[in-house]
Amino acid sequence: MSFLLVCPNCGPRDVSEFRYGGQVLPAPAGGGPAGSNLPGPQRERWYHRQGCRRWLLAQRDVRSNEVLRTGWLGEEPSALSPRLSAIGQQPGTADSRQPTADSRQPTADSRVVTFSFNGRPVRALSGQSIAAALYAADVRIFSRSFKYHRPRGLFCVSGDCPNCLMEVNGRPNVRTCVEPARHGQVVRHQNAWPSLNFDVLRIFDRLDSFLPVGFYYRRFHKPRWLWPLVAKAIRHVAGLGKIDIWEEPATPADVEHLHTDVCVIGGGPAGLAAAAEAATAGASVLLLEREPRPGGHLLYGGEAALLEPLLNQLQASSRARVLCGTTAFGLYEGNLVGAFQTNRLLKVRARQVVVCTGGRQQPFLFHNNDLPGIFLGRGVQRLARLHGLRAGRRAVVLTDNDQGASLAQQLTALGIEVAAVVDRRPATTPGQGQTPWPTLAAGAVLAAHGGKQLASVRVAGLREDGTIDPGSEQEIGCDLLCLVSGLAPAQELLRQAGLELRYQDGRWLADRPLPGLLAAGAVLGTLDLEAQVLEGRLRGAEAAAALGYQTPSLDSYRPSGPQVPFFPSRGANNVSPAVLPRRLDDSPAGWYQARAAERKRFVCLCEDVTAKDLERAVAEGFDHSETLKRYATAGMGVCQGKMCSQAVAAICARAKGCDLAAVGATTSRPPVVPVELGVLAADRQHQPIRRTPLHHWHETIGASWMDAGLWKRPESYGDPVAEVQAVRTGVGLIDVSTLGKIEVAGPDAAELLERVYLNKWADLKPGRARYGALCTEEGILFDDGVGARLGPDRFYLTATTGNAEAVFGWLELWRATWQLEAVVSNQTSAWAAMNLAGPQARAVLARLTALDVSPSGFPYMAMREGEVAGVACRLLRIGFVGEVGYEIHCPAAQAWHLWEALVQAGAEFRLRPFGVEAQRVLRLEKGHLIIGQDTDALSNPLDAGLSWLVRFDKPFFHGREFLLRLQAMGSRSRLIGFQLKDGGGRKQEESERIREEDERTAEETVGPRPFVLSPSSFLLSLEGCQVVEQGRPVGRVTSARHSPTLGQSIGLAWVPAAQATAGQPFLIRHNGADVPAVVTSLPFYDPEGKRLKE
Amino acid sequence: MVDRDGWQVPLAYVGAEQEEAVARSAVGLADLSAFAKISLRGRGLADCTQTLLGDCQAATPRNVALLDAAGPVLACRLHQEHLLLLALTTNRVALNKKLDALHCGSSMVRHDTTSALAGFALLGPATEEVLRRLTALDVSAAALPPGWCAETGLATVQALLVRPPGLPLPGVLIYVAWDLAEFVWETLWELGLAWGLQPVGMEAGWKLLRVHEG
Repeated sequence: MSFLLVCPNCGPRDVSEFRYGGQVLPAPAGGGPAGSNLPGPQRERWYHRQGCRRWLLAQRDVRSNEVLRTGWLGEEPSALSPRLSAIGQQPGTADSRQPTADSRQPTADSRVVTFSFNGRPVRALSGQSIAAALYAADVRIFSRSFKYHRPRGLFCVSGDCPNCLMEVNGRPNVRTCVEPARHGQVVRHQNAWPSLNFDVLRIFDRLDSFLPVGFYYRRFHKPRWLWPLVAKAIRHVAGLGKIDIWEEPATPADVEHLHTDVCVIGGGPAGLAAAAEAATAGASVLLLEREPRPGGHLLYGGEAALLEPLLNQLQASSRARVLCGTTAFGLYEGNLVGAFQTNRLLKVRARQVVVCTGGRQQPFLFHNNDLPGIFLGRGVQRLARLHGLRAGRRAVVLTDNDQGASLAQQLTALGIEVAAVVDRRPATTPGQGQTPWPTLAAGAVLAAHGGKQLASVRVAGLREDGTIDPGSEQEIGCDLLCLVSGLAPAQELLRQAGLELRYQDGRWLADRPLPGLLAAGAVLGTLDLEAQVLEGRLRGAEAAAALGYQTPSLDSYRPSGPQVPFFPSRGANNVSPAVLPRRLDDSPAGWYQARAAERKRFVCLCEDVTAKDLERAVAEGFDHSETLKRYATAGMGVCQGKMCSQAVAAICARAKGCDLAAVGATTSRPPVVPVELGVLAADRQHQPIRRTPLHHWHETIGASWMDAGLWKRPESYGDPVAEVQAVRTGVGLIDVSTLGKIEVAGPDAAELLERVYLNKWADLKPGRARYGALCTEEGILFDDGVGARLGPDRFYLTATTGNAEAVFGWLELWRATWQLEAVVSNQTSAWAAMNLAGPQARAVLARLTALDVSPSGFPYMAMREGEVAGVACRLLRIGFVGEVGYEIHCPAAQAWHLWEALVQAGAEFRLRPFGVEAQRVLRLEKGHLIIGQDTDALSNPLDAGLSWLVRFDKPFFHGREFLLRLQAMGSRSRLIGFQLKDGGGRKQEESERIREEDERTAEETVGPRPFVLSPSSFLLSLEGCQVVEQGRPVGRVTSARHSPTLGQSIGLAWVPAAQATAGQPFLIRHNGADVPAVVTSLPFYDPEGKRLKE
Repeated sequence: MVDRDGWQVPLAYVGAEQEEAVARSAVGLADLSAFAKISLRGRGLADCTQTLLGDCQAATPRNVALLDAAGPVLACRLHQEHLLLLALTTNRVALNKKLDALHCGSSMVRHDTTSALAGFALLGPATEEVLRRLTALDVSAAALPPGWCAETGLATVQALLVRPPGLPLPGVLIYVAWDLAEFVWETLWELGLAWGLQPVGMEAGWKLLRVHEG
């Protein structure tokens, strides 16, 4: 999700700043369940966790993620439009850049670089693509095909097809036709052995009759052991390059967030015109162009004269910024454009997006249509104009439009002999007049011939019914075949944005307009160059006008003369519903009735899928474009259907004898082009670490660390057992700064706690503390902690480390919902906390404070505020570890001083810092549960042994109704304490030996294994194990440790209520062995609580 | 390091002049964590703000006003019921005295958040370049002009960005939870190296922020 949510306080923000808080359902009528999960607008709670930390109410259409209204919780949401228009980018004040300095530089300059290709040096002009340099070095085979290992040469020269994929500097699948050559690059071929020119796996091309599409779905599955072997072999011989997962990128990917008024995608004539016009009007404009310089087909199509004025206008405005070498790969909700530059991820948030992605020529279908030497017409033009290379010596041009003759002229001018122009249109088509080259009207190329390079083509005339006129067949020698089809619009981004395009009455139609999204040029079917520029200007002006910038009257952009053939009227700010005129007969499939032998008519170059494969799949019943794609894999390769999707649809429609609309279009999803995972992950590179103010103290004395959410906590200082013993016999000190600390203040503070917590708070006296727990509305235990009353209207609460933010959000949610007069503040970062515990704790504390710390002066569950070691502190007399304990809270910045003072004062009493592991043992001995470890998403307080806490005499608290029902039904399972039956009191030194024996026995034993007890390592592994009854799971162990104090192996477990009586035996299934245990009363240690209260 | 009101603060790293030059030409990073911060929250905030600041910009959420209380203080109106006072000095006594004199009553809660929030100043022409790598928020001077603040995600953690009014050079103050300070400092440091980021001590920092020791 990438949509924008308008926070009533902070304004429009990316949805990633918020946390979803659930749907707000109306009260169910008649007591039945409220409706939810329905399509359409729904009311939802959202928490602005990275902003103002307040809850808001939003009305969102779950079908489109369009947010219709937002407002504060407890208030009626207001309409969004005024907020959205104040998005923060005031007209005329946003980021401005000149077009990049290199935007006018030619692709190649005169400097020479050298790279290696399969070990041999290749020279290239700086800026020239790798593929162009290799072509100049007489390399003609650039890759081997995915399945049949057929030789493949340059084809589109624009980064769309898979034919030039190679490994560059260890990066596989690099499109070398658009990858600039750089000095020292190491380029290797991929998916061929031993070489590109001779690949032994070409044998598969001969065996194609045995390898039809989907063959692996039907074969190799019996016997069952066969498939894993075959699958491995298939994956080994087929596919693309291999990723070296250990390769460290030389430069790590990063991310940049950009904001602009207008983002224009595509720097062709329409895009340049749109950008220039919007910038002239004063809007900030970002133009994304994937080529090294803007211009699109003007750079190589023979209309370069038009480029200069467009660039001049763009450069005249200081509001435009041109990002060359930038590929847009996704258009998401909220007009978020995903793009990348080599290894930089760009996230562009635009108020208006103008899509000018143009169109692509498509391959024709004929036998051997993938031979090296067969190019798209634009590929030949790009090779000539951008890289100064002739693609061949003698060419045949196959076309279905006027661009074929135009290309033939250009080829002649380049010194390439045009052997023939084969025009699919009938002889009466205008423009087929006298030409210097022979023209075969109503003709088709039947087959291309050659081994590793095109040698000749077989052409013929076609009858009106599509059959071949035998008398017209002829073989024409050539080394270059140019395919000049009409342009298929590059509509992927428009589809991703949510437009559904359908084919109707010879046109593609959009189902609805989308606010903030415009398009211009060939992507809409506008093919005339002048019309493209005019349309671009209009769209640029419309985009600027929609944002409040002054533009000329939009009518002034309308063409007056007849020279613009296609310029439908459109409403401002909307994508035109009329997208592209395309008749079925214009299908780039170039349909004719092929002969049986001409079976190598490749539709999908990425996956080696032929027309015959598709016809067969349709006959098998895969006759919808989506199912056909999944079964035949056409369109699932690196080009993602750019070269084949229209042909696939046309073949499917013809095979079914239906219209294209009945076939349907496949879904367009990001990314439009392949993007390295490392680039996509650049947005996730930050891994926050929360450190307590005492982190470096712990580090200095060698603490071992554990993660607790984002926190780093000391697990132990080397010897957890000694740490436990220090607390039980002397005094210990633990850093508990990670605890959540929340202050609730105001006249309604007590009321809020009364409603949210299970127990009572209103009767808590100032200066006293109380343990409390809270539930969700469904009666599920959510969190617990100790709270203290600082004053009549002021409470100080602690929450568990992992739930601090959630508890704060929960309190804030209900404060806002009930409109209570209270202020909830998250003070977690403001206060450090340390727990001084043990029989000598009082004596240590007494040395540092003037407070009365005697048992009567500072009794159990009391709270005091006062100075300790000169630091203003809050002290809670609690006993999580079961000894006399003081939880001392102080300002974070003074924690280090206080900690050192305590350590120093405690030295006489052999004070020892203890870590989380020792604390876990200590609290387990005391039978205290940990929410989240000993409970799960189904645990309620009644079953967890906290029924004493639940005050049903309160009129309301969260979960009351559910807990009342549960109480009436009775418990089904209970959280109990247990100890292992044989005592488990073995010494620590023995545990390692026993563990090794246990492992050795396990390795040697076949079948059920005997249980061997090894206290330390074994007990940890018990956590999460099932409690079994007659072999069936009936519960689970949540905590297990060896207690050095008791000399017992103890734990907590969920067992059936019927087995929860002290003394009842039960079994724990551990690695296939059953471990006997017995239910034990809690707490294990100091059951009367004398030690912590004394 | 020097002592200021009980805080150990870095006066200079390589020399105040050099640090100031870096901040003016590239980007400098100063640690303002020791500066006093006080949070005022509650329904009575509107009246209290009126008394404290008069009819000024900070009456509106996301706005920042300059308050003079024995040293400059930035008054950031985070939302209707939350005003955060960010002193540009380590001395909080004067500010507290001023607040004590307000008598805002029980409808407002006051917290000293000096230890809750760490503060950094990112100063220099490359400030926006660095921030654009860390936050999805539009941090351009147009979207976040001087005298504005915004709470947002920065390197995936919650942060308050403040663009103080009247700074002599481009700059943004960043406030994050105290326990995340080291992470955010390191992230800014690693990222900023590409733009020549240097740490700036208090001597240069005070000068660049146009404040005095108070």
